[in-house]
Amino acid sequence: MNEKKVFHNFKSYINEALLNNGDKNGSIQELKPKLLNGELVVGAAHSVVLLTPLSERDSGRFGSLFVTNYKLSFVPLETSQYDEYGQKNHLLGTFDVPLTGVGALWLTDGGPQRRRRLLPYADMPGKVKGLQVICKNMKVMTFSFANSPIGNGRKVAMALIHHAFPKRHDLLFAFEYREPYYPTLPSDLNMFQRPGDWKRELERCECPHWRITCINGTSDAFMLTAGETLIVPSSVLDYNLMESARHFRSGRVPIWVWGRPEGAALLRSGELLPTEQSATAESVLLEQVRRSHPKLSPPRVLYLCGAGGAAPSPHAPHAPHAPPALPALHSLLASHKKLADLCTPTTLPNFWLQDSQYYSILDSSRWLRYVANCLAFADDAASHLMSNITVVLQEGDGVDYCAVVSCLTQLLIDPYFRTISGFQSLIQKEWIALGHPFCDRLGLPRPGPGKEAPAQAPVFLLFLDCTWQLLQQFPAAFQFTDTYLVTLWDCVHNHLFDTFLFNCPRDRDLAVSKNFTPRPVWDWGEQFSEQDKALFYNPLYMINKPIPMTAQRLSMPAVSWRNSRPADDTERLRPCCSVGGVELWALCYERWLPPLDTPHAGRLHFHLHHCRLRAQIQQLTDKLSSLSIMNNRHSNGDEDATESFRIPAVSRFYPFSLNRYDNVTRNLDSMQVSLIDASQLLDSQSLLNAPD
Amino acid sequence: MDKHNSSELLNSDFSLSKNASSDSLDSDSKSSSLNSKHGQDSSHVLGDIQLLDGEKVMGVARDVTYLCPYSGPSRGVLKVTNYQLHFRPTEATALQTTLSVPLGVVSRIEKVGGASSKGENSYGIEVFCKDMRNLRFAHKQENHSRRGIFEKLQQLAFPLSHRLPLFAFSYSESFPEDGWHVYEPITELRRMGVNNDMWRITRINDKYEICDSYPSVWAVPAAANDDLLRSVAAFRSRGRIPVLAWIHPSSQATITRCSQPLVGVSGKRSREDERYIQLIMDANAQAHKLFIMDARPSANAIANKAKGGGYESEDAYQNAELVFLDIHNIHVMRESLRKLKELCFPQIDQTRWFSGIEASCWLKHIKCILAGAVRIVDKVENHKTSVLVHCSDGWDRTAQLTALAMLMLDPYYRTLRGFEVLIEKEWLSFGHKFQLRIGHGDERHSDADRSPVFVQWVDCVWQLQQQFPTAFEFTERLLITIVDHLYSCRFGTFLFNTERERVKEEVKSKTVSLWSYINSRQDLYLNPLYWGPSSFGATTPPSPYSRPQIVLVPVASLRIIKLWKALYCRWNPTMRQQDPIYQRTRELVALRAQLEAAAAAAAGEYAQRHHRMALTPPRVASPHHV
Repeated sequence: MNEKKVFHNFKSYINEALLNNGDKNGSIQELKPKLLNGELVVGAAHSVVLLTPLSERDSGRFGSLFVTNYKLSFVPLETSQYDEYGQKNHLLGTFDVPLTGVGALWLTDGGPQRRRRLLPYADMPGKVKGLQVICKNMKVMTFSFANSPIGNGRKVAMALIHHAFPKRHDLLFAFEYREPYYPTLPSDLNMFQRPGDWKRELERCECPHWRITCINGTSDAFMLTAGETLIVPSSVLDYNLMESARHFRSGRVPIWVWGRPEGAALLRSGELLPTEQSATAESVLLEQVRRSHPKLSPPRVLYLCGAGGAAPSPHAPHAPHAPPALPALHSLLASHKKLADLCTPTTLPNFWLQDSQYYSILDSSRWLRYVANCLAFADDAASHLMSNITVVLQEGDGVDYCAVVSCLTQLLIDPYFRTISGFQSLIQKEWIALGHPFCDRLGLPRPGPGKEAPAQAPVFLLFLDCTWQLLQQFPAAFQFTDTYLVTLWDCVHNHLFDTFLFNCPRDRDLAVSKNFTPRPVWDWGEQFSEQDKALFYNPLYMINKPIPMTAQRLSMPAVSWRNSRPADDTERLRPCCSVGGVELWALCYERWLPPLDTPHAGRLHFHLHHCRLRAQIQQLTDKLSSLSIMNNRHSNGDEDATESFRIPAVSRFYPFSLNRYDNVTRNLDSMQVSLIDASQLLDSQSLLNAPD
Repeated sequence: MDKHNSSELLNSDFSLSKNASSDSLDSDSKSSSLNSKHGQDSSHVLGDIQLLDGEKVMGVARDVTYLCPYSGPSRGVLKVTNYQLHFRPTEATALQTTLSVPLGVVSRIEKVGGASSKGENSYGIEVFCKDMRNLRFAHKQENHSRRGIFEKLQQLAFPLSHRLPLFAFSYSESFPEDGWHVYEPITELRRMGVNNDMWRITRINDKYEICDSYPSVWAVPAAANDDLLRSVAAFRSRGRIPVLAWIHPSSQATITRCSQPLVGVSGKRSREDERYIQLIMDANAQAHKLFIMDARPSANAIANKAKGGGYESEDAYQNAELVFLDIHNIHVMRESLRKLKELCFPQIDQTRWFSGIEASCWLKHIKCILAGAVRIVDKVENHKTSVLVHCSDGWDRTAQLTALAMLMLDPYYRTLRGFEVLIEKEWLSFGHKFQLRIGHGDERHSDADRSPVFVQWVDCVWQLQQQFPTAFEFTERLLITIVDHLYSCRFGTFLFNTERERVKEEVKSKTVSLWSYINSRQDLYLNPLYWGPSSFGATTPPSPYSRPQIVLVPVASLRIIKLWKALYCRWNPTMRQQDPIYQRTRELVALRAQLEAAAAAAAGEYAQRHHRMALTPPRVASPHHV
């Protein structure tokens, strides 16, 4: 029934066109997009119809379509209260897409059934009747120019194709954005930019046998894609590093990323080059790694892409039960493309056709198999680390799957990374500081002269997907929610922020030296209200355990409320790594499919109920403390205040579905004020945590 | 005082949280404690055999090896009782291989290998179960060591084939509540407002003479007299005439159920049947139309004409619209679940998993059934039109559809007790042939009448639960427990085919109801996130959208429908949910309850003190306000 309601909000454009051809044209011309400081309109089309996705008949919204140097923006003629997503972005409206979020363009001849791919730099046909935009986050927008003034469609398509696929990196809007930026990053976020940041991490992990070297920041740098600070075995000399780097792809010698006070450490490296001395160079370095272990145990090398390039070294014979090797980047890209096809049906018949072969399409994409394999590698690495064996991850250039598996391993072992700050620090460490080539992998233009066409692949999405699987399997272990992960993925395509804008720290430094203002995406207040940020926090997190702090050292026993087993073992997550145990991340991939969105459905209801419970608990605790200090005023008033925590009815893909209920946000508001900072909730626990 | 309070809190919370976690640790995903008495900790299931009241050890085989597909071979003792097969490993470290399997789940038993078979563990027996697993035991290759236990197993697992009684007739545990009183047909009809102007209750079938597979009490259109009912029964397969399943509280639109009309190849008509259908339509003043939902694919319906059955022609039935729902027959479903079992047990093949799910078609069948039920709900709720549902005999697909539609329409059936009523009414009283479909105590494992129709319906209910996590008062644990005891033969609930047989065999006096067992420990099955009318209280919510949803309309798409791993893959230890969400919820609920109590106590103390000191009048007098 509620589906029906949606349709009523949209008007059939055919009727609309007949009615309004004359008198409303004037007002259409006056529609304007909201512009940011430094943003310019570069193309516009009027009397455009945005077609309702996957509807049975052609219906849609009238309005104007604009292309700016930042975004593609549709401005509807008549605004309605249903025009907003549950999550409101300060920078982007409901019908806006940042240009870097534009994935593929299709020309449609008036309807979504007949379409033709529009490639960048290809010739534009003389007449453009319809345009379909497939976004990188799998949202599909179809526009019809049937009622537009002649030439409008072509004009806007030209502008889009020109600006959405720029040839130079510094043409991206981040370089034009004029809004001043006042950083308000949380203090416990480690950006891993300066040697001191790495020192903090080394101290947190209590690993005395490792040292910081800044040689990579000097003219002797050998690992050009990583930041200036590296952590290496204390016994190895900078000179040795420079020597050995010649034998590793991209100079990626094994470097420390994480360790345990007991001695085992996690290292990442690139594959060996097929040089004569490479095997020797590797064994020399691995020997140094061994000496950095207090028990002198030899490290275990995990070959993430198979033992392919490297000859098995005597130190680490290839494990017989190793998980299947991870795919080459182009296979991962192909896999993601099939997944995207499955999640972006453009017509309703197509939607149901896919539905009838859903599992075979899913199977042929292999995406979930890759997800399971990443988890299996991480579980394998975690097991070794837990038995105090150092693990060296090795893969290609050491910047893709190394980052995925290394992050997942740390999520499995170290509870600090399961907090929001910890997770953001983890991304800063493994993806930003150690130089995952975001530009290349996301298909942005390369800063500086690019030699060959770099490999494009959604490696970071693979990581987010794996993390989501862990969230699914351990609903109380993470401070963040799937809403947070989905939002993060959306923000990867918002090139206003610098976090995912560069290939390596070196490129960023170079841009900053030319007056570029970096804006980390972690400043969530730039985009979202407190209320939207509240949905990032998991109400189930740490119900009965204190939140691990950055300052807290690993060896300090986590004060556990219930059980007194050693912290290590209880904190280690043991995920199910079988294909049977992983699921498709529906909130991320299928949220734009209206037939699937039903009110009162979905997992967010768990979230809301738990929020209410926690709010009630908080209130009771307050009341209890006020009673205990005999405060008359507090005890009189709100006996039934718990009743005020009403649970709003939301639909399956909230907050990524259009807001159909006016009261939702208000209710969310009243409930979640106390949830912004989950550590506040510790107050309610402090009574319980107190030692007897 | 502050200190005193907090230490008290600490202590009581320890116990509370312990309860919460031990309750849910073994719940939600794993098999429920099949053989334990309620209240016993799940750890007791490991190790020594726990005998139920009325259970006796009938045979013992020592030096048997259980070939566990997950943790490897394990030596131990195999015992057979009149209820279960029990294996206790000798090694204390192998306790996880303890087995306690009700013999009711055994589908067939076979000898593996001969006295001269070569290789380790090649000689023994294999037990094939109805609950998606097989058990292999290896015996020593001397003195026919397996013969005794094999014969005992044959006899006790298939008592009906050996002229022995089912265990339910020996089981004698008593529970505080008698589950046989959960469903009273008259009470349930009264709840729906029958008798009323349009519908009346009739006892015409009191002796099961009109229809031997129907209950004794029906609700029929008030305008239909007994003679008409008799004539209609003659025109409907096995006398299963259209009777009331559910009536909409405000629009009076109804769901009625029946079997196919006996049209045959010649296209016979029955004036009485046509008139009767017209009466059903007239009983709903809101619409001048009736939908007849034939659950079968149209080809099957046409094929049934050759056997004397068929479907209503729209020429003969004025104002009726016939819709085929394309749900396949019991044989297709049996084959589908067999394929699914191959996929799920014992190991999951990484490369074949998704293609295997598709090839089994199980989820597609689930989708068809859900989609069919959604169509019924749409007609009844949105168009205020009455719907008549039938398939061939009206006891398999019809029961699936009506029971599912009622679950979507009426929140009462989504409560624990309401759900029990729903099963009693739509499945048991209307004669779903549980004995034939499950084959309790019968050794003919390849009998073509066997089919997982009821399990498939429970799967559909689970899909609803997945889609609407707060709409049900109970969790999936209840569903798994019901499926377990569907086979176990410990309770009388699912024995026999019809109400008539159950009355004849005095099931109610000679056996225990499954609902007695479940209702004695309701807390194990309650959903802490339930948000239904009963949990909401009397206050009117501010907007209709923040009211609990009355009607559930699930999305029947394979993108949403999931494989119920907690049921089908539950024997595989790696596939278990790592940390059931309900456990955390229960902890929170327990904490809230405890804080409420503490606040009440503190408020009481505070008020008392004020009273004594006569400083101010006690304004927070009653702890009930808190």
